[in-house]
Amino acid sequence: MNPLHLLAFGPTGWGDELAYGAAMTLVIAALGFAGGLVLGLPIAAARLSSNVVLRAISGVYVTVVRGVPELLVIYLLFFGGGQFYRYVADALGYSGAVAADAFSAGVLAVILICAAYSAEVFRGAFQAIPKGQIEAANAFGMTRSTLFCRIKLPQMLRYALPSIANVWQLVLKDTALVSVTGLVELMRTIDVAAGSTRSPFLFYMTAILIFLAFTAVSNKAFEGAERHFSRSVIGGYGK
Amino acid sequence: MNMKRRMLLVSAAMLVAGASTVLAADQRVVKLATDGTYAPFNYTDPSGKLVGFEPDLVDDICKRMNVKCEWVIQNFDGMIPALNEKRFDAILASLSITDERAKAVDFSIPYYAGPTRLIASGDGKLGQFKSGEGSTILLGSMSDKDKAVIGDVAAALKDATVGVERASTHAKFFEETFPGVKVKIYDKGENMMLDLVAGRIDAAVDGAGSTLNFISEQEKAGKKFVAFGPALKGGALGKGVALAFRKGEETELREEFNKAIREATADGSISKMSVKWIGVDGSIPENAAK
Amino acid sequence: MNKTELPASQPGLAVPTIESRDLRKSFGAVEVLKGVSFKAYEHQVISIIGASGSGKSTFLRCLNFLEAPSSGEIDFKGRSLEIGGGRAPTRIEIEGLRRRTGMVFQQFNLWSHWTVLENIIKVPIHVHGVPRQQAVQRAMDLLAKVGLREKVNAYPASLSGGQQQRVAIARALAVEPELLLFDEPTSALDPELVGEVLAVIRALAKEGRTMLVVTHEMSFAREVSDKVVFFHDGRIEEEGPPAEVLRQPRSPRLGAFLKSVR
Repeated sequence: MNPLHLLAFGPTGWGDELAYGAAMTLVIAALGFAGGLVLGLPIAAARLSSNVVLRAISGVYVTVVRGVPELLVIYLLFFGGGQFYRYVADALGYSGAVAADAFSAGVLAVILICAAYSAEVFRGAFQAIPKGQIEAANAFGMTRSTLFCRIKLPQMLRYALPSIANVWQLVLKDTALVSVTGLVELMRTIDVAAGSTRSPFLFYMTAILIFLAFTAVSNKAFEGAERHFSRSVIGGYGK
Repeated sequence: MNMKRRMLLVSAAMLVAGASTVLAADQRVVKLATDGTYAPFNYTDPSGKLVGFEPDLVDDICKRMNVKCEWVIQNFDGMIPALNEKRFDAILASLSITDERAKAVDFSIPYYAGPTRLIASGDGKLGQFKSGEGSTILLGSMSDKDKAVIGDVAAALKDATVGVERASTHAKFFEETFPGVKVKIYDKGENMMLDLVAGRIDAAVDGAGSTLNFISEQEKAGKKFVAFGPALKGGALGKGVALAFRKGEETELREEFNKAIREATADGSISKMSVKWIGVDGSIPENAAK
Repeated sequence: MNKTELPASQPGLAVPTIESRDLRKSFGAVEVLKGVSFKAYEHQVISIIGASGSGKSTFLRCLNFLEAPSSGEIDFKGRSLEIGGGRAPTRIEIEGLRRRTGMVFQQFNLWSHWTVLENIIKVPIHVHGVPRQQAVQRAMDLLAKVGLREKVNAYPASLSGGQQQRVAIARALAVEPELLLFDEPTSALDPELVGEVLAVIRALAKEGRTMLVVTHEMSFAREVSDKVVFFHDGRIEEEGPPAEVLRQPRSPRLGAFLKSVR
């Protein structure tokens, strides 16, 4: 019998379940990535701050989150967080179930991981901006916010983009770790299908192909963005 | 974002104690966790329904206990932490009883222990071995007759080389039960089976379930292999699989499950279910005796 | 952003466009400016010369607070900004001064993510609140003036050093500054590109703009400036009309310096 019937859509195959899992993976990755970038920016700013306390806190955060296995961050949020709620509930005399929702815990974990990595990327990119260009902006009386929005941010993004593409890949792969919470994303669906049909080879190959497809598409998108943001350094004339 | 869709599908497989009886409004709900990826014990069909030996088992014993059992799907890796934070009341997910795990959780009595078999080519001398065929021997409590059968097997293995898997309980069991027989140790079961097919070893030790799979696969390829001698259980082979409860809690609930498991063992229900799903009788007769 | 208004200059030539009194600057233990008092009046073109390390660039950069002076006073159009001892000028006061000046740097410092046009119009639009239409019109006029109209949509990286510096001059002019600061505008250029940039600066001088030019170009200083200021060891050693200062230096140090650059 053709083993590919296992990938069919409908009640007899795993096609629709895999599509759902893949969509969930993309949603977790997209939310985690977006949230991580937004959180990463102030962390990078804190890393570069002249304030010793801000620098210390952000430094510890970035070092710890990047230094420990990502799985541990997910465990901490999903189970550790739950245990924290548990203590509170017990103290209040409530013995029922209190649990971190798998989706929220998963997305939050990815945000925290992505923020640590993107903060370091942003920090390096900020430092790569030629000092003279910042000085010129100051010499013309730009306010700090104009300087940041018009000069630093767009220049920084140009330097950051290639490494941010790497962070996205990391985030995409980290979603697979979220499956430990039981959240039904692509990797969990693959595990269920592989174990239930006893066809691990077929399903793991399918997972590889789906992840590669995600990677290929996002690589194209990042290449386009890089071309767009670096058009000024390639030295094109006009638009 | 309908992220709970799969969860709902799985909930459709929610097991209701006594489907034919009217549910009391205040019937207790017991939440059990499983992984849903371990065919044929507990797995998921493409529609998202949880199926297998353990769902059937839970149907049966929850009916005996007159409780409503609900499944919680939890990844196997996070099972024990999730138990401790009360996401569910117990784990029922082919969890083998080990000393290490027993430090973290309280186990019920085992409801299933997969027998271990010896396997050899049907064409050779061992393939013709008939002693103890069809019987199950409990290594922890052997009768004189059982001991005689083990002696016969040991004699048959005298000049043979037998493959065993390193990580399993098989290595320890084999040395204790058949001292002096030449053993070859493998890191992976697949490699051991490849060597058996190639004739580099004369026999191999494996679980009854995968043994049956192997035999039927080889049959398709035109090769005859047989499980010979008695099915073996207990002793160094381990205690089997059981439900796990939070350490020091749920003592009453655990006792209720133990009682239901004993009953389901005594009347042959577990035996029937395990033959249906796994192809071998994994019930544990000692349970019925208590 | 609101343009911070400084009080209007008092009538009469008596009020210098910019004046420093006893300006001092230290980097750690090293004192680079040792009390510089200096005046520049409207329409004056002043060349600031001196050996490297004499403090001339630091002085220029202190005037618009790119370097924070350690002590002293700076008056811009009669409005005093005290440093040390007195009240330190606020960021808003400093921004106010900077918005009325234009600066040209040795390394051009064009914003590399913007086209030539964007480099010129962004400050008028976002800092001075000039309508875009008007800013673009003015930018095109200025580009014509520096001879780079056809490069309007080019990015800085595609331009030669001389072209980049001419764009930087147009950028400085776009804010209609009351004072132009040039920090060694030709030092980073290949010799064959120096001429085109000096020609533009000469033309500006003829327009009667108020300009301070830190330079090594003695012929430029001689032909264009109203006044030459010679810096030595963090002080103004000698100053006066170029004919006097450059032809008959009183200070032996200036004499030696002039010999060395000839």
